[in-house]
Amino acid sequence: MNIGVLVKPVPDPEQYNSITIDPETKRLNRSGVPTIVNPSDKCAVEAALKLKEKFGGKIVIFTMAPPDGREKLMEVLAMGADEAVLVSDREFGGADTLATSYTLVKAVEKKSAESESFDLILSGNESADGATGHVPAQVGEMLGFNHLSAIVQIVAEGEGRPDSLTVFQKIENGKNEFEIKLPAVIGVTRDINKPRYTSAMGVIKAKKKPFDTYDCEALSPDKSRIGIEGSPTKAGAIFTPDTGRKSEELSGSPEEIAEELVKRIKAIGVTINSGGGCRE
Amino acid sequence: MSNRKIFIYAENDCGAIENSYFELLSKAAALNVKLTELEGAPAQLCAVTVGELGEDSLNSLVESGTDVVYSITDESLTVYNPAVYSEAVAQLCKLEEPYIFLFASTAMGTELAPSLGVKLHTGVSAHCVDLRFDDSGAFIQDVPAFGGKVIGEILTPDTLPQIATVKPGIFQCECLAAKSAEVKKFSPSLDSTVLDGIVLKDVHVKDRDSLPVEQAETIICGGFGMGCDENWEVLDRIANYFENSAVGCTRPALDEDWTDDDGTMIGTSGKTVRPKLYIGAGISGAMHHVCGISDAEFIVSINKDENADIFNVSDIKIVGDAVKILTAFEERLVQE
Repeated sequence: MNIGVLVKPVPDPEQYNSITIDPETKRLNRSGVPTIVNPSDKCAVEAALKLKEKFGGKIVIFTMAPPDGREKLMEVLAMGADEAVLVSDREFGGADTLATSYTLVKAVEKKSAESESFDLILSGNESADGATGHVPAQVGEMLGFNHLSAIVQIVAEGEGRPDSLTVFQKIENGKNEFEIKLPAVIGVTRDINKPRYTSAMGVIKAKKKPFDTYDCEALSPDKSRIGIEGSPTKAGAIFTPDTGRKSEELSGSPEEIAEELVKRIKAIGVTINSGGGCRE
Repeated sequence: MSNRKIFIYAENDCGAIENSYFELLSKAAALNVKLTELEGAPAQLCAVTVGELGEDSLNSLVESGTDVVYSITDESLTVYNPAVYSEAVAQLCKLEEPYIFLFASTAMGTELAPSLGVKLHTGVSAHCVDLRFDDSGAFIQDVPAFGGKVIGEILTPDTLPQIATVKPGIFQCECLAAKSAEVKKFSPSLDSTVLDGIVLKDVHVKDRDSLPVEQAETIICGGFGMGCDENWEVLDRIANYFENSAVGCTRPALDEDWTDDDGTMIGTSGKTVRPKLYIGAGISGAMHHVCGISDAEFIVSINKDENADIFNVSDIKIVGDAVKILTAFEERLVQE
């Protein structure tokens, strides 16, 4: 089973509180925030590794990023993926999800033409930074593959390469169980698994694994569909929402605080039910 | 009325209309006021629904205050299949050429909207927190980035429809003046190859005996600072003292398996809530969580770190061990 995994380097979501907007230039200031592999993309890599353990085949990682994206790809190769493709060119910059999906699809098609075709494309359901969740669906549409998003479980039964997979999709009040025919694109959420750690041996092996870089010339895309020009959505102003409140401190012993808290709660008109039992 | 059409996707939840439709319609009606100022005439508000609806549900759409209800039906649309649904909706769009198309960013909406973006070669904005027209008539879609720390304006200036998904719970339902909408039936022509790629085998609905967090008036929410499984139970006991209450959680608490109900997670990848009272215990205040509670009327936070980010967005700040404070609070509630 040949699996492509789409991976994106993102600023570490644990540190989004320290991202600011420069009041002069109105540009984003994310200095000091390290770049990591998007958390749900790591889950996609883990899901791919599990499928490979069962069915064999190879795993190719794709990322569209500036040249320093190479470092993050090495990390994913160290987890156990077989090959990596860095899709990188200034002309790809400023792409929205539609242009990004198109560019990734061109890379997947190029890789398929050069070696074997893919049975499955996996991706994190959404990136931590932009979090649109569009890419799995849009890549699926453009490849002409079946596609599903928000997958929390993949069940692969039987021996040999399967024709279809049973997958569970997270919905508002539970799960949808789908059978999806391959080839397919599947977006997975972080609920699906806990990604493995990289081993020292994995890091050493990663250095010897095939690594391709595709620039714009290599992909020969329709230029009207890449980068800023190929993006139907345009970014306007950015701002930080005002969520500030007065943060009045209650102090004293826990008992004193509890006493004051009960007073404050009553003052805003919330009723405390004597004896509890409201949710029984 | 102008020829412009604002489409609103009315999610068909087992024959009933999902509440998010009414939230989107309320916003669309407000947008229409500005559009009338700018253009001299309002756009047509159109509900779009796929699959058979019960008579009551169809009536609730017809009387919701929209001008037109497009009812897309076909025997292949009785069961949800995202590939078939998006194809059917795309065919309607090619025929009717909407100006704007709004979806709720539910599981269904977040799958259909980007697929439609590809089929119609147009832009899609995701999880919008506000929608507006500026004075030049540009349709501005405010989207959160970096877990809600930053809001960015998105415009789709050159292609139509301008597609946006909106997080449920962001816009409030307003009652619109009743009128009887015209129902237009649409039958798509669906190729058999689209039909069998994905098959819905089953729907596993989680039985919930408690009130959903998004409907709660009081929320007791626990985070990583609750420390362990056993400590979690105090949240439930405290919630018992409040009518229409629910216990919520953050992503780290869910990851620790202190609760298994991922439907109670609040924030960017969970629910947006607007309770009268929110009490957050052991929550650091990561943007992913904070942006889900910013519309709460009154926020009380307990954290042992006096510099925790959560305090910046709180009305009441309590520095201390969450479990100790909650235990004292519970003992005080017993005396009520």
